[in-house]
Amino acid sequence: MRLFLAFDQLWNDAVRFLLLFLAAELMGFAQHSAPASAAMSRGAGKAHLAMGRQLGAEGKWKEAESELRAYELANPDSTEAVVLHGEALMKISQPFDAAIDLRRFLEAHPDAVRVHELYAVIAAGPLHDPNLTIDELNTVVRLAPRDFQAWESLGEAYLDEVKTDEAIRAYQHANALRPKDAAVAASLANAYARGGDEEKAVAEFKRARALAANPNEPVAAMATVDFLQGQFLVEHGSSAEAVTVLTKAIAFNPRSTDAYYWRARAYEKLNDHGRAVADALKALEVSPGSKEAALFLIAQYRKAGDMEKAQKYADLAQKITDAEQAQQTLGHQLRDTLDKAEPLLRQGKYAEAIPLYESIVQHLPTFYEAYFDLGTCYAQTGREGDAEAALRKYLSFQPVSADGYAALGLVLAEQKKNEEAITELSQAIQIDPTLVEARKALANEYLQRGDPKAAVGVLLSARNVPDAEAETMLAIALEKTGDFPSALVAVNRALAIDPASAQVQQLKQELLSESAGARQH
Amino acid sequence: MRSFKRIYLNEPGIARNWLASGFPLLRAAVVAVGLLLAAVTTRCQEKGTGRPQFLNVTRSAGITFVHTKGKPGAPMILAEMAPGVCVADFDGDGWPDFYIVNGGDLGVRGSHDRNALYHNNGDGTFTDVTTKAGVPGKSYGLGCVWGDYDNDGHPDLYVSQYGEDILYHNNGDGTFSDVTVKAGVGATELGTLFHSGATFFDYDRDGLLDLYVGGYVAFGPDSPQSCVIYGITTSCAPSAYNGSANALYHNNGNGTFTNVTKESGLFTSNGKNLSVGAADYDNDGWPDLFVANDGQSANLYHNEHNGSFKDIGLLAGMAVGGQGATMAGMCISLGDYDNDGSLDLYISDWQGSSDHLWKNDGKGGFDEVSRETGITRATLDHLSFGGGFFDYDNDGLLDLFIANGHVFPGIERSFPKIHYKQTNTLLHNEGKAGFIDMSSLQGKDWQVPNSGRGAAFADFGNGGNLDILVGNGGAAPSLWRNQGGSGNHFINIKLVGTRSNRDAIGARVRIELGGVSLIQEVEGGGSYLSQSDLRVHFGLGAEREVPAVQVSWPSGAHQEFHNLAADEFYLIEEGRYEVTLQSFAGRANKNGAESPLGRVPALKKVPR
Repeated sequence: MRLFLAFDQLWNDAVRFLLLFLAAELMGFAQHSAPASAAMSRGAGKAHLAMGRQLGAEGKWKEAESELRAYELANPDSTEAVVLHGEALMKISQPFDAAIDLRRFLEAHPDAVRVHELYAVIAAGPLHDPNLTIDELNTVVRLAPRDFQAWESLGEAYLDEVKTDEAIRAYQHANALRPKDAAVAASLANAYARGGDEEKAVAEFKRARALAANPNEPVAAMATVDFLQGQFLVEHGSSAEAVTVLTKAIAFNPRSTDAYYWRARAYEKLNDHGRAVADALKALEVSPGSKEAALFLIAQYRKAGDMEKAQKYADLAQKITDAEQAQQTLGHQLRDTLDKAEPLLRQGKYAEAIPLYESIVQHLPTFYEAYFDLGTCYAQTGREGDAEAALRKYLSFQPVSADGYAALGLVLAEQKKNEEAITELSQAIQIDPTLVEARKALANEYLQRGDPKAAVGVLLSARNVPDAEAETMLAIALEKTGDFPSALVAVNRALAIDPASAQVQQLKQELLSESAGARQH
Repeated sequence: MRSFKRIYLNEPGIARNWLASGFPLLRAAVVAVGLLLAAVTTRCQEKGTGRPQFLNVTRSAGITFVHTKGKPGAPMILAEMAPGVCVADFDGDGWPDFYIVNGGDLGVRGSHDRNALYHNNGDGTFTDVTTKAGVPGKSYGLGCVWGDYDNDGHPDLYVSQYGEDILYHNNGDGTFSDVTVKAGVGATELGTLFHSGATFFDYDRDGLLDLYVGGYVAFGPDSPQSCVIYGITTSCAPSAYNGSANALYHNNGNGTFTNVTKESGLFTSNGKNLSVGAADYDNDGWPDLFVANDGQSANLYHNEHNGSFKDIGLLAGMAVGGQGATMAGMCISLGDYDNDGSLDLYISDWQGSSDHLWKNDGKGGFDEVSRETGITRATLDHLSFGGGFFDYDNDGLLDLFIANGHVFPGIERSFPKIHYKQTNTLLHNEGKAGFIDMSSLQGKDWQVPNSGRGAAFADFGNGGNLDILVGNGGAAPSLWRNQGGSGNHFINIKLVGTRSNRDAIGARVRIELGGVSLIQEVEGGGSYLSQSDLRVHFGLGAEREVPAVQVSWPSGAHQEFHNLAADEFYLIEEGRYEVTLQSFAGRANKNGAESPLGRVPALKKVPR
């Protein structure tokens, strides 16, 4: 009993180390899915897939994401699973979580084309990382050289980066795969134009238009041709023709900010300033953040001598610019903060890390990993209540995280909320039966509750991992149930693992004397 | 995995639906946004005899300086930005000298390779007098500017560095003293370390030169040192960093300056200034400030005449390019390329983005005319750094020179057609026909690529033709001597302020020529981290006489001179009615007497 109490005190210290272990697991590339998948049947996985699809079809993406996450956890090597889950994360505005997920998957499965495709989409979109976009698309076309859409997207990505030679080559590949695709022909023409080859641009636009005129081509194809050619015509002095084709593009898509903008430019060149301004205003109406429309209006009003209106749109353009700048600055700040926070956590400087992680979660409220790290820091600095809140928040994003439940269980145990601790720790080992530390913690809670039988049950399931501490706890629990022989077997196993442990040796002596005493009785 | 988080945290934003099949159309729309390019027919024609206009005379001139970028094989942004070059006649002998900054090993050996001050010997050669002058620099050098801040007749030298900048006071005897601390112009008080372009200008017109110093990215030992871009490990883009604070210093007139950045309305804590230039763009008599930023809007700070400035870049139409894309603005040059009496603006940009030429509309704004004037096509395939407007053939129209070079070492591995070292660009102003690219006609020396950075113009030989000095990253500079031969005439004017600042920075010179007005303004800074000779040089074409020369001084005084003969170097002193000739040590003047060696007598600042 004395040894148990002493062990209990030691265990309290061990709880703190366990939290760190769990944090390290999470930081150090732990695969959430790998251990969990073992706990979930294929049947359950498919049910999650079906439910996820259905919820997605209904537009209930938060619920869908939860289901698809479970499906992914059950199928950690499934491309379909990670892609569907990634798409769901995008739908609920968690792009960087999707990016992490995809990235992890690609580390193990570098040839997963569809995953590279989705990763490229995220890189081009929310991540605003053109280099990554190009890298990923290049990987896709390397793995799937006949992927038309990848070649087309690669062309667009290169054009965004003003790498016109490379864009032309990519579009040419796409064109070779679908020589009758009007949209890609128009894109190729646009790339020629950007690269300064007017002659080829004109020829290719002509071909694109002819292709788009085919009744079998979708209407969108002609709209694409109209739009891209419209820009070309504006910049090459054919403003009247540009107005005609851009009007058609607008007719197809009345919410095309860019089509209005370019038509405004065409009207300007035709000295029809009234229509130019009207179109630019329309562009802004459709897209209030359209900086080019705002800039265009500044110039128009300035030339007309209407400085008040010019200033109005200058203020708008400044607001848009400030927002862009703030985003970029925030991104840098958060990155810097994260760069500082992680080493502090690793070095055990929890108090210093806390304000940094608090800042991260404030600005990135869906960055769930930060909640786990914050919870760890709070726990290590004696702020168990805050730790509990942070870990619960983490689990709200990651409801199938064994590590999360284990950490929360430990924190609850620290707060002497034994029943709650037992619930959370039980959940942890249900999701991941191999979590030995969680088992030990749970066993400890059962012992605290005076339920050694339950503690035995928990610890017996961890037998496949040689762990002196677990064997010692098992011995104690068995001793409590009166099963001295089994307790002795357990303590001998503990000694086999850690023969130098004086405490275990003492426990053995105690067991031997208690066992002898029991026999006498 | 952690490194990936750093990438996406650039733009934590709300997800957009990119997953629909409308992806191509959406992307086409996005492609249209922010792109500047339009194809123009390249108008290139053979001119003259085909003899190159410029010859590289660096070696024969005795220039042995070699710029040290940093540790080989360790690409980083600091190592890709320098050097600047700046021209001034520091000893008053009439021959323009120059200063070039050096980098260092960026901490490996803990050493700094010294900058260099080259004295122009007047015979086509230069002598390194750095040690004697005492201007070695102290840290990794970025750029430099000259300005006689105390109006004692000797141009002083300001060096922008990584770390504290330096102000060297010209002692008038061939030596300089570091007066940075006393003057209070180290420019680190707001935390900025990575300094960039600077300029002296008299923003409050009190006759004393004030100083603006730009701040670039917040780069330090804890910052990303290199990045993987397009699959290669290279220097990071400026978007990988936050910006820094700038600084405006008011000259107190007693050898000290006061940092008035915040009061002036110029302050930004997060700027990425590269080039700065000051000039009176709206002809209201007060110098305005142009600042080109890297990946941010450019600034046009309008001088409000009361010690403050207002950024009207967006309103004026020059803050961003074409459809709102920010520029990698390395060079600022102000010049009246179309001779309509208003200063136009040139800002260089990234490869593939083309450079930008804005025509001053005379109403306080600018209209971009890059495409129409041939600038877009001519600069599409280069990454442009320093240079600007200058009339290299004295035909009365300002031409353009741009020093080029990439900033990602190894870029060829990802894009074989893009080169780290590049050739420079020379564009001839054809008037209404725009600019045509004369680069390929400049001979084989010109076709040797380099890492062009700072550039300055000066008539080093005082022969009536403007030469070009280029600072090359990690290499020797290039001194391009203008061989002349156009048959055109010129006039070169050195202005000396008495009520205005001594260097006459901010003075406007206007000449009438065949019914056309040509204007030039004495400008500090400009180009990229560099400064050209402050003397104003006009090409006169076939005219052998200038009927009228009008000088508008920063003090508000106006003077007019008549019937000045062409092909002369004049000196106009504020308030004096007669025009004299500049004197060049070792060269006889018109009267047959050899000009005395020595300095222009020290002039006292006339109190207002």
